[in-house]
Amino acid sequence: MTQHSKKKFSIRDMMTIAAMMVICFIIMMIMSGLTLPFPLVNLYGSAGIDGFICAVFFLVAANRVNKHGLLFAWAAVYGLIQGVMGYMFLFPYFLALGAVAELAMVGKDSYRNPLRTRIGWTINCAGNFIGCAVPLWWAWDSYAAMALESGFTNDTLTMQMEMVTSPALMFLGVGITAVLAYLGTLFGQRLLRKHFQKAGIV
Amino acid sequence: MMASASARKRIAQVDGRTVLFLTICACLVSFLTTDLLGHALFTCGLALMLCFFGCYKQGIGYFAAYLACVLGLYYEAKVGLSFPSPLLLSMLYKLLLPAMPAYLLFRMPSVKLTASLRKLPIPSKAMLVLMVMLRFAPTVILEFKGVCEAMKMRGFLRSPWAVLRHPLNTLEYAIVPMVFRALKIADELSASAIVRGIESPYKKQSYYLSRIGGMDAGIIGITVALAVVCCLVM
Repeated sequence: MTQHSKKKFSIRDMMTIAAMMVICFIIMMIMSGLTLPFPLVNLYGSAGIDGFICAVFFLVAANRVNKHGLLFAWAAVYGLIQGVMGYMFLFPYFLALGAVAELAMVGKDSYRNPLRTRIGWTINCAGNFIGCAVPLWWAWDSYAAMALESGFTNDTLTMQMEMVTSPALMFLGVGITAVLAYLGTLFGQRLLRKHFQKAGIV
Repeated sequence: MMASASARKRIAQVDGRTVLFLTICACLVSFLTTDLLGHALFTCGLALMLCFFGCYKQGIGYFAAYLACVLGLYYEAKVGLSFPSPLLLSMLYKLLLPAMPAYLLFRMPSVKLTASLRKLPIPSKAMLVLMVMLRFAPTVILEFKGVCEAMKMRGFLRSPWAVLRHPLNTLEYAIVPMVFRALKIADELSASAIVRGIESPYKKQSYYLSRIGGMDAGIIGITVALAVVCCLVM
């Protein structure tokens, strides 16, 4: 019974996850606004910058909660937000991404293992970058019409098209995102040791 | 004064599911409309709805900001300017639409919103996360402003150059107090929820009566009709 209740999310766990996720989503929105004037940074670096900054919040939640399902919930909520924003077909993709990231965390106390959290978070962020390309693969014509109407220039659209159709450029984008997310977890671990573990909150 | 008070009372009468539906509808319309006129029409409808609920200042303010973004975008496209970024303006005007009903959602009493959401076929734990996220967003923004003020007072945000010279330090000084504050609030919220019996397995009751009334049906009907006109007809 005790073992079973240990595996389930408690109210405190859920509050912690929700609080950290809200901060992450606000940061993602701010970063998206800041990188929009620079199409190259927006396309190739936006997901990575989000991954770098938000890694701290993920690590705090992971170390505090230390239960399986955290990465899945994280990806599912992100997919749900994308769905509400009009990209409903992204929801199953993010569920699958969450499941894959969760597979990387199989094992006891993996959410408190620095290496495992690094791997899990990197998979999640790389998946977020690929997720940006899914609407373009899904329906390029309707996406282009919507993007042009929203103020995107033809140059930006061409750049996007080149990125999602060229495996080398996609690989480059995934690589940039993965490296930034990995560095973010290193920075996050440093903050965890320096501040949060000392204060006893994780 | 009396009219304003009665308009503000309407927000306590409307069901939480109606406002949630309005928010989801606004998100979908904002990203599915292909015509700018349709988009503007829906925004105008939502501004009127905010006024209906007594939020005159916010309704007019949101609509004025929307017009400023759209006209700015139009002017930039005509003259060929690139500052402020057209992409930024386009993102702003797209996001202002869902922000309007979201404001109503934040204004609703949390107990009433919880009572309404309980009627939806979603797991109670998912509902709890959703509720916390909805209530937490304005608090986080407020806390972040506080952290920025404190950083300015201590001279950490003097100039963009100072921020760019020590980006990791700036990030650390911003993130650490934010996490501490957020965790403290999360702990207080969870303690409050447990004391109120959120973990109790029994069926929960609320002081607020949660049912879709005439006003809710009217709002849903108008929103659906407006969304159909804006997305499909125009």
